[in-house]
Amino acid sequence: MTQDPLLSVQNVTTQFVTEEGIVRAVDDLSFDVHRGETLGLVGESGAGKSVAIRSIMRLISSPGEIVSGTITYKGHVILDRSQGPDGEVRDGEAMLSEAEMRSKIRGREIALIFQDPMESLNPVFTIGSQLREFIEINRDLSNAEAKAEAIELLREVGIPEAESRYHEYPHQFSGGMRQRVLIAMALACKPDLIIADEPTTALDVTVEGQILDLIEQLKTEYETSFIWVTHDMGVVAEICDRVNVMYLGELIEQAPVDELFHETKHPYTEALLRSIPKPHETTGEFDPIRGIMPDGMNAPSGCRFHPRCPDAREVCMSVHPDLREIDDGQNAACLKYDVFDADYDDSPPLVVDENGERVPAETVESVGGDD
Amino acid sequence: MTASGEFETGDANRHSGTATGTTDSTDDVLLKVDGLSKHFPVESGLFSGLNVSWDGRVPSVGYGREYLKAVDDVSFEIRRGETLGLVGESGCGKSTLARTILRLLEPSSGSIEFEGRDITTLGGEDLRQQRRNMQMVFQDPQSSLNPRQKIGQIVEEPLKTHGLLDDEGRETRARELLERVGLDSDHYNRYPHEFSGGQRQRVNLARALALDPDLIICDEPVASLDVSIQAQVLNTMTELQEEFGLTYLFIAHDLSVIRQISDRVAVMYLGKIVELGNKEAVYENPKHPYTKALLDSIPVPDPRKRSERETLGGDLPSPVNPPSGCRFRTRCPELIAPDAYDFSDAEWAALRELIRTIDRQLVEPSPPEALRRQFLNDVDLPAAADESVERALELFADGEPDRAAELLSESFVAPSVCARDVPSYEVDSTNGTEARFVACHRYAEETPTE
Amino acid sequence: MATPPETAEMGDQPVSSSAGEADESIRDLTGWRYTLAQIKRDRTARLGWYIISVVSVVAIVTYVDSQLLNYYIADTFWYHPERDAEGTALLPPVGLENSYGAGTWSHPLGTDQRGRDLLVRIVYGTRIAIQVGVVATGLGVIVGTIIGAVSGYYGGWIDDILQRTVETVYAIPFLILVIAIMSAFGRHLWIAIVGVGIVTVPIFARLIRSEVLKVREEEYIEAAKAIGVKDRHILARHIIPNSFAPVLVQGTLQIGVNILIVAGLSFLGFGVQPPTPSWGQILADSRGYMLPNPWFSIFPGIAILVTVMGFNLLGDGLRDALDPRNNG
Repeated sequence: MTQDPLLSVQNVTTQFVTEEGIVRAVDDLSFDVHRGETLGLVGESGAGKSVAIRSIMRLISSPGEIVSGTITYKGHVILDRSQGPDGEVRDGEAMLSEAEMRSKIRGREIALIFQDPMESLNPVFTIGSQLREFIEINRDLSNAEAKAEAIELLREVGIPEAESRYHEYPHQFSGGMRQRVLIAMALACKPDLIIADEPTTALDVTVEGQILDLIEQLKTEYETSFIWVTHDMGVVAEICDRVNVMYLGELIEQAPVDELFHETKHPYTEALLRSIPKPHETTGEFDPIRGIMPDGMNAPSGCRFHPRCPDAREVCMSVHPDLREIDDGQNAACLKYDVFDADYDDSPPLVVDENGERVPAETVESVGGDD
Repeated sequence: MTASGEFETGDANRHSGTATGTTDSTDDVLLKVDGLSKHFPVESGLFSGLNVSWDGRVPSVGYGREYLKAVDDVSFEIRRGETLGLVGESGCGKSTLARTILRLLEPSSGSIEFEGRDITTLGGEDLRQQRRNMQMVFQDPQSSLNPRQKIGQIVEEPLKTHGLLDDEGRETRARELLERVGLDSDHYNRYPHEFSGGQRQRVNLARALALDPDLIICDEPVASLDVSIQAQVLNTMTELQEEFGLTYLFIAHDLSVIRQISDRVAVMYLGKIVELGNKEAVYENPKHPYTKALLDSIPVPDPRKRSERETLGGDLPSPVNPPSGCRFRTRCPELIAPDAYDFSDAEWAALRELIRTIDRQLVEPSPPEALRRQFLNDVDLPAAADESVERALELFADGEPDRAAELLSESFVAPSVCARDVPSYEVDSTNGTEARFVACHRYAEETPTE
Repeated sequence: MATPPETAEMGDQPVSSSAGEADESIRDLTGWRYTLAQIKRDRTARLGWYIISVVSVVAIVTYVDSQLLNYYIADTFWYHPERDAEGTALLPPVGLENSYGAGTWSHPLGTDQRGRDLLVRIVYGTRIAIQVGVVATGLGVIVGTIIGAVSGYYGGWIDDILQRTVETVYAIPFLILVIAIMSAFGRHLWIAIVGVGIVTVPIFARLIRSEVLKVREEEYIEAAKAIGVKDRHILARHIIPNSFAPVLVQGTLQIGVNILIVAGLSFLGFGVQPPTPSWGQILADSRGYMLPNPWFSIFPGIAILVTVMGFNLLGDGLRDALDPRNNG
């Protein structure tokens, strides 16, 4: 951890301007990715995971806009943007142009793997020709060399009968095989960082296992770093070294994977872990998080998790916690820790009804806590 | 009990046994499915049955429809008040099975009995009346509610369809149902798009409950929900089951969910049930190699248990031409050696690895010696087997991997009992008194006397 | 059925993934209210809406006057559009002059070859245009929707028979077909309407069939079947309301097209018979006098142009408002 991080994301904020108002899909996001590590980015739908990684690749298009933040990657300034008091955004001088992003970063230095491989592959061209063309363009190889390389890559990602399947079309591949093709494409330029957006979510559990094995094997072979976006805590436990947990556009916990599962700091992470049905023991019941994920437009005041939080106190409604170091290498954004100095201990417990509205303490008898 | 093989056409099935498990009394059986199959013609149209084969010099033309065997000879029972979990990966036919039981699809063969009444061929008004007893909750909360109907209309539609209650009574009932499933009765006048996925699934539940059915078939009801919301909906479903005395057929691909909600579990692979038994028995002591593989491949949400996951190799075969005998045999890590050669375990394991590698062409064509060194270094195959292997390796080296694979398959896989016979056994449960069903020849000896 | 027709026919649902807020934003409006709100924000669609409103009001007033009051209003306040004029033939509009004289305010757009006031004839021609456009299109929509929905929902041989029939009609050039129908059954206005309606049936039948093929795969259709809802109710409550949006768009555009067709028929002498004024017939009348008097052709032309444009603008606006891709 002493060396410079491979990718450093600082205070990135991305917002979407809609008819109803402004949604901060990603709010003040900061994290580092080190060489060779797999960083998990975890959250439920609406947490802003996808916007976060698209912000890193500068793939946000209207009505979305990255309004501020700095992102550096191996000395390249991917993003250096600040917002003046007038709301005008200003870019730093060293920031890469859009053309440079295309020619230097995307695909070559940082590769993306999407959830739905069918949408990333052109249905009218063969798998082989798409892979070959990608290699040809990005690595300046001749047609024949690129083809040999493509077949080699297909074999490497475990596609059987690579030579004959080179000539097949995407629809002739199963979901797992298509995802392997995308992984092959991501690996084609030997990038140092691969960002994977829920790459195994659409796959069956046995196929997911095959892909996770493949990633594990490729990691040791290529020493590639990964940002692994997922909502599946099982996958996180399986392959991540460190984990970022997001809730409503904000990072609420950052921890090494073992600490995240065994010394969980944030109540949201804790509740999320509790809500997972356990495959290897019968518990007989489920332990959900109460309420629903609020709309990004109407993010709750104070701590954004407070209407659903079992540990919420009155103070959580008004004070917004930022991410602070709680333990060595472990950050969390929760007022219950002393570093926040927010009089949490003296604040009375917060009682909310199922809509997340505060209920005055004396009228409370029982609160039905779902949906 | 009827033999499950009875409805199988042409398959020489020596073994028989229902996948139902033996019940003490048949009174409490709500649904009995026997030898149910659903086959889809691969293409429809005038010339779709025409096959042109270009293998020879003169193209041969044949006529004969191909069928996708989505559900093939499935038998089980569901008892009143229980939850039967049906688990399997995509393409295993579990959704087709659900729709066939509900008669949304016409069964190709087999029978469905509901409360002792055969509903397989029911039609017209009889079928419409029968539908009051069995309802379904669908997977996709986006598409399972008509976007142009209000929640109230959606929940009232079953009542209206069967002419129950007057307008006012229906509204009262709909509002009451909304509250029962954890929604607000004020949601009556809202449209589906105003709700989150979890809430829509609750509307789905309310609609399914409106006719007070005995059986609800849930097709992946929580698969598209976030995990914390999943738990909310599942809790509601459990509560409703107790309150209304419901029987669930709960279909899911998520083994963790199935484990928590089911009483008994059926595991499906490529159109067939491969294992069925008491939940604890199946999870704690899985018998079928596929069940084992499924359980082993779940990523455990605990980084300290990383090494425990194991991976099942290979791809799902096509349901149009499923493997003969046991359908799992092409991926099975426990394939039984053919009797003819008398292999030792080590020999058979090494040989299987070689067969798999050549079949999937995972290596480039290379001389026989190299492959022998790589795969058969430590073993000494029986002479008869060795001859076939040598010929296959030569073919492979000559750049004819398909013929090599074919030869190996003919010599070693086809004679195996796994390729010859469809497995279907009832074994004594080690966990509880109930018998359980396992479709694997490894358990042939354990079969109780028939 | 339970669904009020407007709700059922108009408007696509804004599908938003976020949940249950009750704020009164456009996203939360439903059905036709949402569509109307979208159209109000679209300037060109609004223009189309205004044009259609004005033209429709004119059409209604002239319909009442001509059918029920025997041109009482026109006679009292203006000139009778059918009667041979008391004035000069081919008098030019105000501000122009020709061999017959100079334009006067008593005939602002001039008079036709028989001396009838052109403005009155054009205004009273509106009723035929709108009547034929709306009724013929409505006929096409209703019959086409039923055929298309049944065809798409049931599939199989029903689909084959209906589609082949529809394609046969589609294969005959529409003008020839309408003329054939009118030659066979007589040159009445109602025959013209039915004829134009028949030639537009295939357009809607094919359009709605393709939508139904998509909608019938939705899970709520399966849910309705599982409940035991009868097929005709599934069609009426679930299938048609959810496949109707493109028909609404096409229908609006088709009204414009049908107005043109009927004008063309009248021009050829197959439409409304004189002396009842219609735009196509005024155009036909003007043929012989066009060169020295271009205004004679231009004014009915403008009437047709503006009306058809009004329907096209509204149709395009509806297309945008109803396109689910714009609701993301």
